[in-house]
Amino acid sequence: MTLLLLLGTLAVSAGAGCLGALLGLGGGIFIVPFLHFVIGLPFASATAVSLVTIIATSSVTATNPGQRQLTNMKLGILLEAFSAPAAVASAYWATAISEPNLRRVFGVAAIGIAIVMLTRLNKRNVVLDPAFAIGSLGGRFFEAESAAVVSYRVKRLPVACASSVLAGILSGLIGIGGGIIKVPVLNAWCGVPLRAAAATSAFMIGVTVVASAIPYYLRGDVVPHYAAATVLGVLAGGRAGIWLMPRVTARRLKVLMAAMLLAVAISSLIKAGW
Amino acid sequence: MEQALRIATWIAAALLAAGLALWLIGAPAAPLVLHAGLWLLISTPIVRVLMALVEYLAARDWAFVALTLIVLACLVVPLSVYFLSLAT
Repeated sequence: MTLLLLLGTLAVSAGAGCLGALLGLGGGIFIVPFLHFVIGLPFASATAVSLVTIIATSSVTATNPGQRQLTNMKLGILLEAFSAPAAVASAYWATAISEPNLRRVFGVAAIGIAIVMLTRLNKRNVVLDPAFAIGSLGGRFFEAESAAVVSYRVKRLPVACASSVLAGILSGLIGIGGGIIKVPVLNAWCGVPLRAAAATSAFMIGVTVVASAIPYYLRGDVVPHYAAATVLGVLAGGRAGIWLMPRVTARRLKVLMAAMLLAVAISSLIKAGW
Repeated sequence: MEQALRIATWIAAALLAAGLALWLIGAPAAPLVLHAGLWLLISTPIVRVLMALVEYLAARDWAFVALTLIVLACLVVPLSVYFLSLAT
């Protein structure tokens, strides 16, 4: 029985890792509901295992050579100065919140993100002019779709900072990396191309989840054998995602993710008694 | 250095795989191996932040040195508090 549950956990984490690598997300939004609702771990343990798992996804995607030129390190560090303190604080705060309320937070967060994804399907945010001034936080990278070096500058920085605080809080409460908030916000409102937002997010979520994970880990909430199964699953799935990356379009990915998010959100809200 | 972090992640994964196998056969060493893997995993993003700190220090980019220190404090302070509480 245990073996079966662990194998199921491996398979689901592989799926989460694949989608996560494609979108620069840790996949926590799928791992937490699976561990909590399907496997039956307490919400705190599901959160803790998810946080540890996201470290693995982040480390593998963020150090992938193809991702490195896309990563905007300065933007990442700046936004982490907002996410990491929020993550630590909410990881301590989470013990004071009941499970049904955490499920509600989870469901509402997932619905909000799905809506953002669906309303922003065609944004690309790239400028092909190489002389374009990118400002102190912008970036340039070679984009295969345009077959040229593309530039972007960061707009509406306060929006990005505020969303990073929110991402940090949710990370500590419901075991996500926060990439699911940062990628759409950076892409939709702050002028960062999806692939650059995803790569930068892969770096950021690793830092955010370590900030959230340490308090959980020190409280003994990480169930080591489940953590091992999910880490191995996402690592395998993450490799599949990196292989798939040049073969799928951003638009199709967004639709796929929004559909999955809505399904997860609704089941979470139903289990919380709405 | 990035390469070293990649290797560290795969070593952590190998430890977790070994730990999982040991746990399934009920070996007493399982928790030790699993926790070693988890600690190695937790340390990789901390090292990346330290690398960024070194980079900004070298560039004398003090604003980003300060931002990186804020991030680092969030990772290191809970650990230090925990180990200090163990010591007393």
